[in-house]
Amino acid sequence: MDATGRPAVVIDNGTGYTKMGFAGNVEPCFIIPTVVAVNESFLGQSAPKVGTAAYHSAGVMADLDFYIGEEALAKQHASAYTLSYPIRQGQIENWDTMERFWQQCIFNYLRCDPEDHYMLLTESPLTAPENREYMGEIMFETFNVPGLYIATQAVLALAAGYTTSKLEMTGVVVDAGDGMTHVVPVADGYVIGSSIKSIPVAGRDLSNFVQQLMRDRGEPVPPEDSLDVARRVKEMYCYTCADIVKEFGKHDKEPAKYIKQWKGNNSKTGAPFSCDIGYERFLAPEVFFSPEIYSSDFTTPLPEIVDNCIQSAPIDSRRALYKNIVLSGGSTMFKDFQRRLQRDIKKRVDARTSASESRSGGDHKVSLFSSTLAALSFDGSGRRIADLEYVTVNEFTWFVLSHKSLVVFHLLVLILFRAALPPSLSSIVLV
Amino acid sequence: MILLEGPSRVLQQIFQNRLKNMEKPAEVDFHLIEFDDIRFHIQASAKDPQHILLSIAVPPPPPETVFDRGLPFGALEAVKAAYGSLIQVIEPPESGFHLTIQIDVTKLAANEAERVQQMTKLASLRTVVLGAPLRVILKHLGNRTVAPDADNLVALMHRPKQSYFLIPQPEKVTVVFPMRYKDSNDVVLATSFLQEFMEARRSAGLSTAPPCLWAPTPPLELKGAPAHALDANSGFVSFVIFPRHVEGEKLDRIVWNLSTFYAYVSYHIKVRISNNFCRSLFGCKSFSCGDTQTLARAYLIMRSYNSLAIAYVITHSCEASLIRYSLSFLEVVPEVLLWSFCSSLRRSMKFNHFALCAVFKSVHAHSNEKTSEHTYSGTGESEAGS
Repeated sequence: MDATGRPAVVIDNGTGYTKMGFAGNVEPCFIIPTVVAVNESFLGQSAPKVGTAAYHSAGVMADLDFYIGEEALAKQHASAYTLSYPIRQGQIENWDTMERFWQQCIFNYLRCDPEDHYMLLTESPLTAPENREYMGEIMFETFNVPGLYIATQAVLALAAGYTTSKLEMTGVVVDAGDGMTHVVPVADGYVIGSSIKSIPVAGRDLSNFVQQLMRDRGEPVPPEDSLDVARRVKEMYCYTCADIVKEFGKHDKEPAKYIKQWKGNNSKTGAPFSCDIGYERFLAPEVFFSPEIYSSDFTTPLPEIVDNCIQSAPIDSRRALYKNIVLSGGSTMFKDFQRRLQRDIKKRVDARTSASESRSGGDHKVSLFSSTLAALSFDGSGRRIADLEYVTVNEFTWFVLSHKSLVVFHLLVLILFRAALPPSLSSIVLV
Repeated sequence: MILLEGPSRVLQQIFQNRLKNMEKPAEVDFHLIEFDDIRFHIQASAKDPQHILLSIAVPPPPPETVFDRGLPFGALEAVKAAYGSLIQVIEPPESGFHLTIQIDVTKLAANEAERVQQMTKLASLRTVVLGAPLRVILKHLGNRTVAPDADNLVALMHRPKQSYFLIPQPEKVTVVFPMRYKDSNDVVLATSFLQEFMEARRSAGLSTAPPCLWAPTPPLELKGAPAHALDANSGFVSFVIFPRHVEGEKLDRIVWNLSTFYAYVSYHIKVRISNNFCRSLFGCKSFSCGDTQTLARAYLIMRSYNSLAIAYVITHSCEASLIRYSLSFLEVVPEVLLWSFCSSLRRSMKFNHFALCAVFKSVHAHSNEKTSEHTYSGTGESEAGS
C-alpha cells in the first residue's frame, strides 16, 4: 500500500496550541500547547575530551531528553528543564525545537511512520517563502515524507465551512489566535496578499490585560500563577458586550449576578486562594473593539480593520467578501463576538453608503455606478483594461478580466517559486 | 523519550474523556493508523454511553508466518485472556477489520489507579494482538517449558511483508531481525546505529541486558529461512533472551520492544538526522533559520580554510551535485548562496555524518589557527572559543 491508501497526517501549528490528527476524522486527535521543555544541563556542558563515545552519548541523551505539550508544562518547575515556545506571533522562530516538536508529534503522539503518510501543515498568511521552504526541507529531508502540502490557515478556515450544498471559497477570514490576529481576504481560494491586515492584539494580550486588571484591583492571586489564572478566566468567563457603558451599569447594579468567584490552589505551596472576577469579563474582549483601553500604540478597532481590508480588495470581490466573513481561532470564541463584529461593520458600511448617497443626490444607482467607476480608476484597473485593448466598463467583463489576471498572477508566482526551489522540493504543492 | 510507549496515547485519551463525561457522552468516531500499517477504528455513540467499539486491522502477513483469519496465531485467545470480562469480542468483526471488541465502561474498576491501569492495558491492544505468538514463546521460556526438541525456526510478522525469526531453545530464545530501509541515507544511519547499539551492550552498566549482535550477513541460525526474508540491506540484529529477561513485569515490556524494533530504530534515525548534526557541526546550541551567527560561522569556516578540500570531501561522500555547485560559487557570490550552501550542507550531513563531523571538527580546529593571522581573527576566535 502506498501513501495514497493511508489517511494524510494533519498538523496545524498555532502560536498557542497545536492541533493534530488524521485526515478523515471530524476532530483532531490531540490539541496540545505548542511548547517544548528542553533539558539544558546537557547542552551547557562542554564536550568531554576523553573520547567521541562519551561525547556522542551525551549528545544523544540531550537529543532525546525533552518533552512537549502538557508534559512540558508539567516539567516547568523542574530546574533542569527550560521551556521554549518555538512559534511566536504565528511564525516559527526556533527551528531546532520546532523540529523536535514535530518529531514527538509524529512518533509519540500520532505514532505513525512519516514515510507512510502525506503531510498537511499550515502556515500563517504572512509566512515568508524561505520559512515555507525550510518547513518543506525538514519534512522531506529529515522525515522523508512522501508528499507535503502547506496550506494557509485562512483558506482552510474557509474550506472548513464546507457544506454539501456549496463550497464558498470567497470570504474574509478573521483569524484571532493566541499570538496574532490576521484579517485575510480570500477570493476563489486565493489569498489577496496585498490586502491582508494584521493586528498585534490577540489571545495572549487579552490574557495579559486580564492579569493586569486583576493585579490592579489587588486580587489575592499568587504572582507565579497569575498569567495562568488570567488565561483560564478569559477562556471560561469572558463575553462580548453590546455597549460598554451599559455593561458597567449592569455590573454595578447587580454585582451578585455578574461578579464570579475563582478558586484555585497555589501551584508551588498548594495554599488555596479565591478571587473575584468583575469588569474584566467584558473588558477583555472589548480590547478588539476599543483597543485604546489596552494599548496606546495600536488604536484601530477590529471592525474598522475588516472594513478597510475589504475596501482595499479588488472591487469585484468586495460584495462577496462582505457576504462571507468567517471567524476562526480561539480568541473569536467569546459569546456574541460575531454579533458585535457584524453590527459594528454594518454600522460603518451603512454610514458610508448613506454619505455617498446624500452626496450624489440620493439616486442609489448613480452613486453605485459612480463609486464603482471611481474605484475602478482608483485601483489602477484602467491601465490593465487598456493593456488588453478591451475597454468596456461592464461589470461582467471586468470580472472576467480581473479573474483571469488573478489566475495568471498566481501561475507566475507558482512558476517563479518552483524555479527557486531546490530540486528535491519540487514535489511541494503550493497553495 | 528513548523508547516508544506501548499504549496508544490517542486511545488512552479517548477512554479518559469518555469516562470523564459519562453524563453527557459525545459522539466518538476516529480512524487511526499507526506505524507498520496497523489501523484502528474507535466508535462510541452518544445514545449508548456504556459501550465503546474498538476495531483493529492488521496488514497482510508475510507467507512464512502463521496467521488465523487475518490475525497472528493465538491473538484471539490472548485478547480474551488479557481483558477477561471487560470486553466482548464481536463476531464477525467490522468489515475491513480483523478484530472488533466491545468495551463495557461500567465494568471498569471504581478505584482511580486501577482504572487507569485498565485503560492503559486496553490502549495496548496492539501489543496484545501482534505480540501474542511472541508472548507465548517467551512465557514458555520463563516457565522453562520449551520442548527440548523444538529447535526450529519460527517466523513472526514484524512489518507488512516482513518477518523476524525466533529460535526457541530450552535455555534461551534467539530473536533475529533482518533490517531493511528504503532510503539510502537511512541505511547508512541504521547500520551505524545498530553497530553502536551492539557496542553499547558491552559497557559495564548493561551487562545484564540481552546479548545483542549485528552482522551484515544472515547469521547461521537463519539457515532454514526462505530466501526472500534474507535480503536485508541494513544487516541482521540478533538478541538472545534468557529466562531472567522475561520474569514477571518484564515480559510485557520485552514483547512490546521486540515486536516494534523496526519502529524504534527508525525513530532513532530520525532523531539523529534532526538534531545531532547541526549542533556538532556548528558547535552551537540550536540551529535556527535567522541565526546569522551560525551562518557567519559556517561561512567563516569555509572562507578561512581551503574550501576546495572540503568540497572534495563532501562531493565524494554524497551524491548531491548541488553542493559542488554552491561551493564553486561560494567565492564569487557568497552572500547570495550562503543560505543554499548551508541547507545543502545540512543535507549532505545526513549521509555518513560521523565521518563528516570529524572532518568539520578538524576544519574548525584548523580554522582557529588560521584565523589568528586572518582579517576575521577577532570574530573567528570568539566564535571558536564558544
